[in-house]
Amino acid sequence: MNTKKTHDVIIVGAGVIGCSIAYHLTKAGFNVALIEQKHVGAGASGANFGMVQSNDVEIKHSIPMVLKGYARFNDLEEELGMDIGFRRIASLRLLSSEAQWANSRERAMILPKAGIPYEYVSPQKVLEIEPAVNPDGLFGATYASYQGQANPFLLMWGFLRKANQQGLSLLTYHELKNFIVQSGRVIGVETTRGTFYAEKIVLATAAWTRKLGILLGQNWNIHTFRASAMATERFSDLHINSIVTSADHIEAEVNGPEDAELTVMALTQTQEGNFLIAQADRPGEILDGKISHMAPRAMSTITTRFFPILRKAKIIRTWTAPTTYTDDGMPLLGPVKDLPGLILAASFRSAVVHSPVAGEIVTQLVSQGYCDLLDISPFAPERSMQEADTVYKVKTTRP
Amino acid sequence: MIEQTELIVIGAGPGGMQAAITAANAGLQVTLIDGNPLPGGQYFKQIPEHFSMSEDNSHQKEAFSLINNLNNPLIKFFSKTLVWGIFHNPKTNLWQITLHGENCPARLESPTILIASGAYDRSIPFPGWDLPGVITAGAAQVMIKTQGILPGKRVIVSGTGPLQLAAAANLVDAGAEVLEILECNRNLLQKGFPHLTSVWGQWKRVQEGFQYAGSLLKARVPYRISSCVISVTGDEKVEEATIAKLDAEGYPITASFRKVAVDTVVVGYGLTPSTEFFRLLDLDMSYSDATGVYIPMRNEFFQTSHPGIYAIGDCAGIGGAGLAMLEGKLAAIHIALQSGYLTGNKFQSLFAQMKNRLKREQNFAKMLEIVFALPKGLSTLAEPDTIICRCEQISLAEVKAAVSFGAQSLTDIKNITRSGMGNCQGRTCGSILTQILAHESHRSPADGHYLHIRPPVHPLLLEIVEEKDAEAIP
Amino acid sequence: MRVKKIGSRGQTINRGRQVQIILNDKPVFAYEGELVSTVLQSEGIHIFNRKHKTGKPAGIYCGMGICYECLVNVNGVANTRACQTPIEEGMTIHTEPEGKS
Repeated sequence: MNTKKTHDVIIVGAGVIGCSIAYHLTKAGFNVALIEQKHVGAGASGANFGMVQSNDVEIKHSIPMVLKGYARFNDLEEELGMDIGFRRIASLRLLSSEAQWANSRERAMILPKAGIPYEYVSPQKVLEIEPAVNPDGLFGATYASYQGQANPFLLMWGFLRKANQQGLSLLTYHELKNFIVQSGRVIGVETTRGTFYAEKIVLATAAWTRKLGILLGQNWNIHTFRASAMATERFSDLHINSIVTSADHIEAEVNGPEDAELTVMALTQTQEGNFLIAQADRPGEILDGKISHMAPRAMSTITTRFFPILRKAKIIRTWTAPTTYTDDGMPLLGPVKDLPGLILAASFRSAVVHSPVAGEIVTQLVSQGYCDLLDISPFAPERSMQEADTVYKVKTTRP
Repeated sequence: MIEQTELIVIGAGPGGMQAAITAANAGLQVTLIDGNPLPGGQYFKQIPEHFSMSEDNSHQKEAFSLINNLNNPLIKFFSKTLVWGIFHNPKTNLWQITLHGENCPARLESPTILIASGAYDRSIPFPGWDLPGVITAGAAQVMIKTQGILPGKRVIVSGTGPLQLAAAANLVDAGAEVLEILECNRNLLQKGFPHLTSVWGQWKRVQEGFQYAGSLLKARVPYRISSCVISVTGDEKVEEATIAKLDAEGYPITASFRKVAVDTVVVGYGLTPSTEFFRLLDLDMSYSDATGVYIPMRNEFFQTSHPGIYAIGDCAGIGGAGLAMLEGKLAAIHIALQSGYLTGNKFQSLFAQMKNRLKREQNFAKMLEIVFALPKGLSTLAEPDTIICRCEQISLAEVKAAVSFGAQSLTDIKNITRSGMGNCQGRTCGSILTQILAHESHRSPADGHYLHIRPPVHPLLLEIVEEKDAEAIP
Repeated sequence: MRVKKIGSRGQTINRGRQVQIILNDKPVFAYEGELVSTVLQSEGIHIFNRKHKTGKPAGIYCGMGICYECLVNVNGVANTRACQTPIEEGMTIHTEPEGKS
């Protein structure tokens, strides 16, 4: 049986972006429903390490936005009235070759000028920062001394807790089946548990955005890959101080159709002492959240290459989530030109750091119809894209 | 090349063994896998190879007759082996399991998997339930019957149903002083009466029951209905238990509280199905009120929503060993039919022979379920500082705070509090969280969904995942 | 406490041969076929480990490998389930006071 309800805004997708938008819109007094097909953070937002990082930013147009987002974390815990596990932490990207360093050289020139620390460090310096790194074949690293990390779940629930107090309707396990379009305007959504109407619909749907766009005749330029990860038990024989990533994917060649293969490793240690290890699998629109039969092995292999001591850590759990990227490294953020009533906020590179500012931007778009917080015209959903610098991209031989 | 077989059976308890034997007799190549050193599961749990018994009883003889039938060239049995993942291999279009054990391959593929992973003791949290000295009925039985070790000297047994009686009898036989047996239910006969006919064909069980009663009567152990242990205290170990009478809904009656000095409390509140593989596979599930967890939906041949995955025995709903063996047999002949080892006619005639017995076993299970259903009040014994998630040490107050943030599912609670993120992966606290969430949010327990499981289903050294695989995959 | 008579009709359980293991740096005798948890129990040890966050004591609870309460260090591998690990001659076992004691 369908129920008819009317809201000012319906947000689709309870990831970190959707939760932030829900918080900012309800704070501004709007009547908001947040619709989610599963539970809160069921996609990439619940599968990441909560890196509040500015050094991975797309460098042509996105620096002002990432700086605004990053700055918000200074007092976000106070604003939300909740511990979100935020801490300052350095980011260390291990390099195995000069080619890998060449890939980051432009970034190393631009970022420091914008106030984002980012530099090359020698193998000796790497070992000073992280003594447990295996020095074999190490060319050096790029080092961003001043980054951050939050608990992604507590960040989402920090936004939601406030949003709920501000009158949000949180509707989990409501899967979007179709849009309701009237006279060319998007006016509502049909879900598995009822139909809902609103003045504005915001898609904060990350990897699902492309699929939803097809329902509206749109061909949004978003690519998907699986990000797989695993958590170990608390492991007292190793303590690391930074978020450590690898860059071996730059020379890697991906060619089988389905098997997970390494494109990049990321490793961090929680405040409880567990290690979190992630990798990006090959590109492919796999949305079911099931980890590939090859991913646990691939993750273990790359981890022990850089941190042999972790062989003796026990894996408690692995998981996977579809993650997105765009060819130019920028999000799809703004009103959809030919579909009044519809706003996109999808495919952020580093969604966590952008989440507070994305909430501000969408709130401006809803309340005044435009955004003057910063220039979002480069992020227009219908733009044509050119390949940007590809920090996380792998050479792909599509079968 | 990854090794392949025609049927993988996970769990060598009564149901899994019966399924493997039936399938092999029909001609299928079967790989049977179990984590224990010997086959038998919990029901037919064997003493270690290095131990011996002075005399085998009828239960042990029944176990041996089943175990001996595993000696079939078509059955490959891997003991002490953990199945840590089930994946779909898109290249072969087969199910691929990842294993860890001494003599097993690292990966094995098959078109069909029969899951018979059994059940374990259900947990009810109460103040002090995490003190050393509080053990489950299953633990008490394993210790005494297969290790010859007595868990304590002064013991109270608290819970419901026949399993705690069995544990109490084992304790008495091995020389412990069982002070009382507390049954949280009441009106056992009245509730059971309408189902009395279900006892037909269950004489062996009734006989077993008399045997327990014999031991307990001889030791003059008081059996009190509408009672349970509501809290336990002690300095780092159980020293004292508080016992209460319960009202009709299972809430403790304050005036009835009394304290008893004990060194061990055995709790037996029925069983929780081991559903981790079904949750791992994202099968279609439905909430079962009787067990408090989601169980897989199955057709009459125990096929799940994935045609290649069968689920039999206690892991798919508590029914006991007899039902598990029948389900295993029927699932196995259905798999034989599907794989071309049995004709449609032969299958139909075998199926017809089993139908009545199956119905009787199902009725008997239903009777036990109704008579020994957990009363509502038991899920409210925990105090704010009572630990709910033992692995991550998360208290009831923390779980309630998560619900107050707006958590709508078990996964939300897990993500906010870390409850269920630890070593046991929510096996102990999962069904407890369901009850707390339903109680606090005034919603149906089914609305909380369930905690997802991802490989490995038990924690595993990173070097195992890395190196064992290197053997299987060139 | 190890017992011999365990059945309702007086059946007795016979153990395997005696072997030596090292428990908390001291040699201890145990019987082949016994579990690590059995040996700890017969040595009167109830606290197998302490909880990371609260320092609370933990020992045996489920006895069948489900609950991960009975974790000890076996041959250098931390967080090993005592109730699922048969002893072997020369095995070293440490009960682990992980948190505050």
